[in-house]
Amino acid sequence: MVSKLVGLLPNLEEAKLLDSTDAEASYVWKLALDVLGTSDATSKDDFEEAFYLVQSLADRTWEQINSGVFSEVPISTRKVYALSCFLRIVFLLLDSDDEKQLEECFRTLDNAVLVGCTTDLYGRGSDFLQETSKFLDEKAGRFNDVHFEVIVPLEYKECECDIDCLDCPTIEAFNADYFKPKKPVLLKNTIKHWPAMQKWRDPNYLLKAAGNRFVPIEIGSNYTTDNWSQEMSKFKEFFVRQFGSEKDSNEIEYLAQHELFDQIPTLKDDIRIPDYCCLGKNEPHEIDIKAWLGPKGTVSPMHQDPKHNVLCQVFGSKKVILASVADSEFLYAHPSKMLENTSELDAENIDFEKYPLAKNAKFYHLKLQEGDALYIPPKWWHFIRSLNKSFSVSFWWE
Amino acid sequence: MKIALFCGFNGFHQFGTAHAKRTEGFSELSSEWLAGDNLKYAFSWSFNVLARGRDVTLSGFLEDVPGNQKTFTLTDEIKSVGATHNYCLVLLSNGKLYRINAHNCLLEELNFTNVERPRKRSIFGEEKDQDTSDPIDLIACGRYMCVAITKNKCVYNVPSKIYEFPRHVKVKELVCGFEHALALTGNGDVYSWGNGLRGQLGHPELKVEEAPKLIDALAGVKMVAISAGGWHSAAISSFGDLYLWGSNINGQLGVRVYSNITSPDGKVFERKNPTVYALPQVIEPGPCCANQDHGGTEADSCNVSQVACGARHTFIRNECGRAYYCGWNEHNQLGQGRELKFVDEMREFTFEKTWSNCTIYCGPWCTLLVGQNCND
Repeated sequence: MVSKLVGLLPNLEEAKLLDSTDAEASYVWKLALDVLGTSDATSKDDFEEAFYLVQSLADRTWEQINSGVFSEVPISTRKVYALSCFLRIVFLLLDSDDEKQLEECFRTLDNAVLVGCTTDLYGRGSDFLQETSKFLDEKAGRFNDVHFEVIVPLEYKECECDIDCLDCPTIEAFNADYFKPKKPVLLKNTIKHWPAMQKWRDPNYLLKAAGNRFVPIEIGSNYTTDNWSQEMSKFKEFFVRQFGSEKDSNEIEYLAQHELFDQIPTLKDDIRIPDYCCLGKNEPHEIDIKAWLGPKGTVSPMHQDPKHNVLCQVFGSKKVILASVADSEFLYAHPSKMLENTSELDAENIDFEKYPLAKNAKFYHLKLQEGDALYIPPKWWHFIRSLNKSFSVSFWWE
Repeated sequence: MKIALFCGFNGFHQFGTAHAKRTEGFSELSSEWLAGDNLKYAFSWSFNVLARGRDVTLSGFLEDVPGNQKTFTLTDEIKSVGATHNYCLVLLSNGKLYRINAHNCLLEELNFTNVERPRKRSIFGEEKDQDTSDPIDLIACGRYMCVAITKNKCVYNVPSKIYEFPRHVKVKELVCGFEHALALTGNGDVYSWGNGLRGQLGHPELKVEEAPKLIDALAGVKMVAISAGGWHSAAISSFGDLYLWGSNINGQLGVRVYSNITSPDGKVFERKNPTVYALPQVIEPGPCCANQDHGGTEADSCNVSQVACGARHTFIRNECGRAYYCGWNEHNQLGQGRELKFVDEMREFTFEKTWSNCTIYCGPWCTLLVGQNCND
């Protein structure tokens, strides 16, 4: 029942607290909550006006969030956006619940989570989120039209590895030999106890958990090329395109660097934060956990990230090339601000004539296989190519 | 007879309550939008600004009430007006600049161009009278940014001075997007600055430019008109060619947003094209009079004479009078009904009546047409 969701909306005072300086938002909150809070039938005009203004507020706030640099957008603005999305879902559901409308609800819900900020939104905010996704999933039904074969485990091969390779080192040993000196290491057997190792091989399980949801996907083999773009795609459609056939896809799509586990908490129960992440100053909830799911041939060009990183391979395998932060001057970072953390080099096939300094850099090659975890120290350069259908989870911390 | 039509967002009754529920087509505005000569318009998301003589009228969401209206009388003729998301700027012919806050409707003079110079004294030790003010020549406002240029060629991101054009450069038009600005000089050069992460500056590199920078891609061709949308930009050359660049997220450059792709199992999917066009693109509005009436070729299409950009939509008009549009329409800002979410090609606009001397203004989510109705 939609009325159950209405009951989980904030009251006017809670709504106004999100951004007390946003007078237009306060006006829209009042109009919308008045219309939704009246048990008597409201006039069609009032309903439509409130519905329209909620949508307009969401659109305006979206433009606000998309101006400037995302990381500098005030949290209050993203919270106003999240609540306008919540209200919009309620109005959409009261208006109609046909298939198209439900899809719009899922899209709006995922925008609230991914573009907006739903953390500590208001007292019942997380209940609203949980109940709404449950409600929508029940309405939308299951995916009986598609059935996938379980992804067969790959045989583990001992291969050359240019960095140290250890079987489950103790935290003390990891700290002394790798974390403190900021040295990369390949960690074997540290994630074999994850439920994900078995569960995620079954595409039907992933579809059940996430199929209706919208996720950001990157299109094109790598983000430095001109024909690269990003879009929000329904997880099911992305999955059918990239995993639905034995043939390789003619266009590579990559669900990359996505905080899937905040969006779909059930999947978070299938993974465990590696113990090594307790070194450093972050509490568990401050660790950035990202999902990387894609077909064979996804490429992350050589780049560096500011935080400690453990990259865990759930299924599939990846080719990795590393270079030390000490060799940065030989790695030709892109001149533009947006790509300044990315090297111009094609790490697999370096053009030494064009980039002569690259000869001075040392490159470390290795293969990341199912069950492996790779520790990449802060600012170490890394190139990654998937060799099969692949699902990895990365943990970033400080 | 003079006539004014609008389409688009009216959620705060900034165009009057009578049109509040209008979600398709254009609505005719009352005569107050037309009375007098030399009217100036500016549009915010939630309020409109109309200046006439020494009077400026704000309408819409003012003092936190929708459908509100306030008129202010200033001390000199109004030269231009602009609107951000929460205030409006009014520039007078004498170079003084005023700000009206939409939240509390307070009017205040802005004074940021005064230059402190060492006081000069005459040989008798008296202080010489010296004019330290630098009157403002042009202003432009976007949702999150305001720019001004003074008589002494100083450029301000209001209120901070960011640049000084050389003496010989004459800026004749200044426009402002959400977070970027364009300046057109007398000899036809276009300068841009502000946030360029969506390609709106027309430079090959996507980054923030702190100060005006010449758009190299347009240099060598004389530009005669410019416009700035939210995240896109436009220029018209003296040859009548239209250049558009920046974000095409809703088709506002007249370029396709999606293409069809085929998946391995033969299903056809829509795939979003890249949305950022960092370099100016020549956009052909499509066949015009020359082709149709004289059997000419596409190269004969009429010259573009006017361009106006909203937050995510674009209107243009050719010398022959035909108009075209593209971009976002979810708030009926193209007048095509809210069901049509966007138009990602230049489409001809059909006037309901025969118009002449039509001028097109685009607000963030609205379009205003002002012209003469020839039928009367």
